[in-house]
Amino acid sequence: MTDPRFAEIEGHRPYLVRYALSQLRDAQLAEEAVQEALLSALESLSSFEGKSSLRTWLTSILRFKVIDLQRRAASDRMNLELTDFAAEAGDDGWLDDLFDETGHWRVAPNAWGDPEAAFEQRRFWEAFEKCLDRLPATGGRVFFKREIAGEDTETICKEEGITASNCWVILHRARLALRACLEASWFGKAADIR
Amino acid sequence: MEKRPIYDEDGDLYCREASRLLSLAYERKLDAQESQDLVRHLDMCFMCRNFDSQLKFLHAVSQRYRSGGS
Repeated sequence: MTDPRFAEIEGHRPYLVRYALSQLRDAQLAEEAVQEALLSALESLSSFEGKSSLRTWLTSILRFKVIDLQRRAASDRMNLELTDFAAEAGDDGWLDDLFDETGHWRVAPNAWGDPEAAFEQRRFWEAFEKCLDRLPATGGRVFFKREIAGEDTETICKEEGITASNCWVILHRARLALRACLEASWFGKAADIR
Repeated sequence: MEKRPIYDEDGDLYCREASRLLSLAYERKLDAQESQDLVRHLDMCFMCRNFDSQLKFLHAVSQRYRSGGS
């Protein structure tokens, strides 16, 4: 009766909550989505053949729960932050914060040395999560789906209801913000936090 | 709608555009002109080289995070 994978599934909960939170930006909704996804997963565990990793399989179940909740909260689209909205409209004026009128970096990106050494440090991952949390709503959703969950851009754009080029702008903006945040909070150099 | 020039008076990319292309390279294949401009710019600009390494790092961090590195 007790499949040993039950405990293993539970071990993925924190990651799944992260995923849901990045998409829904609402702790209660995120919990709800994960709860529903885990229940579905337990019910269909016998159909999991292990062709993908357990985490990938669980995430794919969660994805659809999240999309479903997003659809129910359709007014969510009204909550776009202004900067994201500008990015979607093709106005790249937001880049003026990072680049001067001659097109050069206002704050030069520093060399980070051997950044992958940070992987071994638990506190680095806390800093990374904090920086993820600081991304604007759309940027956070799109970045998580694209870079962390590894979904393809085309699918993401469709789900977000935006064009590919706007999707790219949003990703670029998120990457710029993340690198500035990590440079400030982890790599220890003075940088613009945004 | 506000668009800034992409090239300076010497025909070199501005950092603003170079960084955009570096990020874009993760989403689609750059065309010949874009790659050529970028290679030339990176050769001259340590700031964009740093940014380039940081994008690679962000990509690696994200993948590590997905596979439970945290």
